[in-house]
Amino acid sequence: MKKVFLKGIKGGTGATSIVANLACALRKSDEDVIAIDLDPKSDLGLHFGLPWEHASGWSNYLSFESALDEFHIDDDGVIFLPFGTLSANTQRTQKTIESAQQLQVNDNAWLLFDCPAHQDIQDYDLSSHDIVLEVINCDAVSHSLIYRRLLQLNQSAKKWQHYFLVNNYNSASELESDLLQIWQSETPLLAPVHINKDEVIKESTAFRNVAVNCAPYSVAYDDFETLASWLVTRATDND
Amino acid sequence: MNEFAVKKSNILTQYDIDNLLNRFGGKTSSYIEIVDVQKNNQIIEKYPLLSDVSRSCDMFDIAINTK
Repeated sequence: MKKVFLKGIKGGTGATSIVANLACALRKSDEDVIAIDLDPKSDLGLHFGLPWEHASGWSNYLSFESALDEFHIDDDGVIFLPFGTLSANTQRTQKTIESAQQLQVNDNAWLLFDCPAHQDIQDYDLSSHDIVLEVINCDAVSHSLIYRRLLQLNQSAKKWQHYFLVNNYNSASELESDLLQIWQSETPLLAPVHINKDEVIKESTAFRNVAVNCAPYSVAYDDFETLASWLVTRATDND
Repeated sequence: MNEFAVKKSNILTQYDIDNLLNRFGGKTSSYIEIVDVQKNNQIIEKYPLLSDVSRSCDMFDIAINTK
């Protein structure tokens, strides 16, 4: 299984939208995809058309095995598991990650985890095959947090592949283009792809869907396709 | 007069690329990264927060260790 953990470097970076769109982009390439919501705000399901009234998820069950009924499948064939309404400590979340790997699915399936921004990725037991995408926006706070994270990663025994992924990039903004230029040329671990700002990403959520499905000729569609292709390359290099 | 010996195209040939790689790429790199350092410095100086972060990271030599 190929495991990808997506989390915002701070709240509101758009990590959940990326998980949903990436899942659909991979699915369109006939990849098996399972998306698991580890974020207590539990909104990943909304992107896949889960009814708003459906609030329960894995956190509402005592064990992962008893929560198997909470797996859903969207119209494209993406399998997803909502978080639910209760809280879960780090140990319980780690158990969910481990149990998800025991699912009887294709060995080449993708496991996408939507992680909460407040959770330290180092709390999870990650291997060298795991990919962490830390989602950033082109703003000064992200700049500050990137370099704090780099200092932290320098001092830790990082085993996983860590990348910073720019989301919601507005090329018309002077500050954003300045920051992206600096990051692209000087910042270590910046993913070579970025997601441009595109209204269709927000609009498609309002239509209970994802941009990859709603707008096949959009900038967002191209961006998520590129991101999926790049991840396939990264995962292949792992093999 | 024809100047067959003078290459007027701006497109790099494989020979040009190999030469650049030999000169700047090193043995382990298969690509060359062209960075406008002067422009980057101007951008960093334009924003006080970026200057602050840059000065602090120079102290930790962060780019060299992580790349």
